[in-house]
Amino acid sequence: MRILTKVSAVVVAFMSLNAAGASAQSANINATATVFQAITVTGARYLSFGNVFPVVAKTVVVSDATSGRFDLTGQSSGNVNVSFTLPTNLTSGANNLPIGTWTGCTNGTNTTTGCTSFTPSAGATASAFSGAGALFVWVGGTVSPAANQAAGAYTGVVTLTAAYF
Amino acid sequence: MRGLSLGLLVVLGWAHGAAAQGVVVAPHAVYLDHRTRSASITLYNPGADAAEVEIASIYGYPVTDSLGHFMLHIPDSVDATMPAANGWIEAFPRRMTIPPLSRQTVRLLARPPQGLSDGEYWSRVMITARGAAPVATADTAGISIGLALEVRTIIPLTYRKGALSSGVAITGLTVTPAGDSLDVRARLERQGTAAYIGTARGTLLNAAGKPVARFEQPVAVYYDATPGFMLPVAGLPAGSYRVRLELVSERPDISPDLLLRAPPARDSLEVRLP
Repeated sequence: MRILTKVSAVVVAFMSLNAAGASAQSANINATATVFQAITVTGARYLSFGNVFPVVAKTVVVSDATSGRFDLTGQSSGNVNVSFTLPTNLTSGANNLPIGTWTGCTNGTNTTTGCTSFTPSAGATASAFSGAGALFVWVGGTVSPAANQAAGAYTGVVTLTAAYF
Repeated sequence: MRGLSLGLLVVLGWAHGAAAQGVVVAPHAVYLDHRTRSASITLYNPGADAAEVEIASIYGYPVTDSLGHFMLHIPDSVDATMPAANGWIEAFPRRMTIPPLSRQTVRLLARPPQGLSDGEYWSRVMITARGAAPVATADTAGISIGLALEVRTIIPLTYRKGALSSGVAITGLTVTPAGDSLDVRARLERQGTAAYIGTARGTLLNAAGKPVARFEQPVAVYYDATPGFMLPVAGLPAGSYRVRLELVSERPDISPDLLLRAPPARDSLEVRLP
């Protein structure tokens, strides 16, 4: 979004009244600045599965309150490629916990209602910023704890890459 | 692995919610010339936690896919025939920690090879930001899962040497219905010695010549491309219309003095809405 800001600055010259022939004068000048939209890619909300049980797969869908969300800003209607680097296992020390069946959705407003679905694991997705220069990306997935899954806090990293043109 | 009975599972939670991991990046595109050989980008951490940031250079350029979308093409390998600058662009600092609500300037310096020919050379700056990982709360008797988010921002970098020119020609304009829109496609043939960076503007004119629908979209034509643009036509009465496509060397997100000026390219096509 390009915002042209014109600031009218009033410059007033104060003249010493006791100077010979002095008189008060004022003049206006315009100061202009062009502010370009910056790029922001923010991991806005962790993807969290909370507590799970052995042999009970748990799915977080994009519309869940615990889905992962990325907030992007950029040029109004600008093109952007979104791609993901996704783990196949979460880890807790030396223990692994499988994760997969990734789901994703994008929208120009911060709601999953009417969002455009995509498969995060399928490579780059072409998208575009809204007229307001916003793009929201949600990601969900499924974890499948084994029968003998060790207790622990399992973590992983979901990486979103946003390429601008 | 240690076995776990369901009876042992107790509440274990992740502190999740507002992660806000990432940095603000400005500008959208970086331009360097052979005379100054340097530029800078500004990073700002808007979050409440420190952000670990890493800068890298890669080679890639936009292409269009079969659907007319712009996609970043990253070749598997880079050879001497490619106008790649990524091998001789260095960032200072390359790794940094940006405290909350703080900014960091990154200098980009070019060290081109001796005897570099006149021309335009391309790279992409990749900014990787990592924030604090989600924190598990207290109990470790159960299974709890949380995933941290990492973000990478890729922006174009252009290095110019010598007098360059750019332009674009429109050929093969087609318009096909696509739901409540028209899918406007055209082959954009790059002219001159540099990538064409501009804006595509489409207008739908009714029989009286009055504009009734528009689109405006940034374009980057490094090699010939066939982008698609959606022109919304919902609610318009049946009849004859004209689709007008214009490309101008202007971008609202890039300073005009950085863009190579080129004459506008125009084409139009008669269409009939059912």
